[in-house]
Amino acid sequence: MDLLQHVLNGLLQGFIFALIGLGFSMVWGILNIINLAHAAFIMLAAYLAYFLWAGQGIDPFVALPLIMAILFVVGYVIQSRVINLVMRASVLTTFLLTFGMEALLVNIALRLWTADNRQTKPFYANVSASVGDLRLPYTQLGAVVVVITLTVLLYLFLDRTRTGSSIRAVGQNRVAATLMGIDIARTYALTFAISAALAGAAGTLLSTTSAFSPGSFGVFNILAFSVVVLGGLGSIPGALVGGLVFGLVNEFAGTYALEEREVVVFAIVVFVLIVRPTGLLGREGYR
Amino acid sequence: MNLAVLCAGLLLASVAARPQSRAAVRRPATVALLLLMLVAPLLSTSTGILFDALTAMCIAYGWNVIGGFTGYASFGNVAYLGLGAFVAAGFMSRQPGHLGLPWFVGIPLAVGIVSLVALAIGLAVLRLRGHYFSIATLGVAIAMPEFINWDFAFGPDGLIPNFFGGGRPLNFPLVPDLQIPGATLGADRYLFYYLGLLTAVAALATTALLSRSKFGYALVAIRENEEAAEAMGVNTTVMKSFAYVLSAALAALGGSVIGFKLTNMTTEAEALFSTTNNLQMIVIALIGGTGTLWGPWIGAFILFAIQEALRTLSSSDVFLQWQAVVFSFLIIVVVLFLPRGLMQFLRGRERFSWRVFLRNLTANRV
Repeated sequence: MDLLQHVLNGLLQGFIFALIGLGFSMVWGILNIINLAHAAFIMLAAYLAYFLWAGQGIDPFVALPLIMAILFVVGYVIQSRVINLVMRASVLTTFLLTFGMEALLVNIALRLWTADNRQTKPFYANVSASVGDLRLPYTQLGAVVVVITLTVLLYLFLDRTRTGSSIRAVGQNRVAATLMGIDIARTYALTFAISAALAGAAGTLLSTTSAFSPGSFGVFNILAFSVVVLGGLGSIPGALVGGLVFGLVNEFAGTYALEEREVVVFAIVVFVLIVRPTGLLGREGYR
Repeated sequence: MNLAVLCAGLLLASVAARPQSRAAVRRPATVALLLLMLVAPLLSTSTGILFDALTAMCIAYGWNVIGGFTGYASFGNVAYLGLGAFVAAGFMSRQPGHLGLPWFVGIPLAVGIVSLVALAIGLAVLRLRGHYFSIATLGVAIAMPEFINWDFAFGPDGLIPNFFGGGRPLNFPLVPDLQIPGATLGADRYLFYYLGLLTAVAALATTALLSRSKFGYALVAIRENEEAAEAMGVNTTVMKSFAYVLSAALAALGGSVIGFKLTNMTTEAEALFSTTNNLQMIVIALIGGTGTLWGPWIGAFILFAIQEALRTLSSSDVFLQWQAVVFSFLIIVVVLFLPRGLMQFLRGRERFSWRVFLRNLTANRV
């Protein structure tokens, strides 16, 4: 029974990891940018959720669409006003730029909101439903519903709409997409904005499941990267599978090798990278 | 006075850095710069900020090898900075269980050991290219403080018991002031300053050799086009590994000297592994100009001249509190407006004008 509980914990965590990986994977696959500010977006959303709940008494799951909308706008402005300026420069440039953004946002947050631990705690936080011996925390169950909904919506958007097709087209062939009359700059901004909105959702959910401080988000960049590596770049099912696998690995590493947890997790990611560079479900990216 | 030294050094370095001026101008400028740095402790009563500038410069030169010449964004060099300091402390400490080696043995030994660690890590992460490499280095930065606290290796019953203090304070030996007939030479003002200068000059000399060697050209070839470099017969994995090791060695050199001056190292002291240190080396290399010989020198002197000016203006430590914010903001601004650093003005025929910034800003727009 203990084993089943661990599997469950891992999977529940894995859904949020998948959501983080999903946004990261979109920007990587389509813009060819490793967005190191992704974790900072998650952090911003977590604080938004916290302050909306603590200050205004708004339930985080109610605030979720609002927070996603705010992050969408933030992402759109950052991409269209800033990152679009260096899109044709070397990979190093976008790396340094997003690294600078991440550090800027996190350090401003540290100054403004201090390193105190906070958690968005509506009445159902830290409470679990019981099924037999199994414990299912309500906030994590809610998170699973949110993640599945968002994933389906994103899939439908990318697959069925004209704008979605143009995003995929830009990912497949930038030059051909331009020739077909797609506004590249706008598509980039839109993609980045969607990714930021997904990070916003992830941050909101994370703020309810555990305590956080500005410093606790840095690890999510590596996590997002690992999820994408595990699942394979540029596919929605890939990100889901990657997230769930990573959740399981993380849970079991934490249970059986608590001290060396990070090392174990990282070793597995590196192993996958060497054995199967395109990920578990992956094909050769968008590029 | 420190500010004057920094500004004079900046001027001399700018003259030495101009590739279009004749060697007859550049060589004397370099010599004058080194002489100025040699006599600096006589001019200034507290050389603390100069020490900071010189050691930070050495570390930035290290980042410049991998980030500038090779074009691989490493975000994990801070790990080697900290590790260098801890390993040096482990060898030099006079506490029981430590060897208590003198600095001229302990620091090179630490640099050597860190190089070996970096080689092992480098061989793994440098199989990865571009994105994958940079993320792996982020992992290195996160893992290193954990590694130092690893009970299995360094705990009370570990393989090398309490090498890094194991929870108890770890101290470098105190350096007494030097007594010579008629005067006392303060350790902070003289010994540590000259150690700092030594690291900076070593880094400069290494980079000078590198930029003229086949190895250096191989690195630049990898930066410009890795596939093409490989096709031309450059063994990219070996070259990249060497670059990574060299970069880690310089970080460890600077780090161990910084730690030596700090004296008190505790395994909890994460200041050496801080984001500020990580950002600082990148900011310095970027401001000066990545992949250039004099870039980090100019970058470090400018950065610390600004810091010194701010410190004299406002006595509070407001600046220290906002340091990381300022550094990260600087990275964004420099990447956008001056991606080739100040060297762009020094080496080209380009005159200084605000239009240059605007042109840089829009050069790579979609």
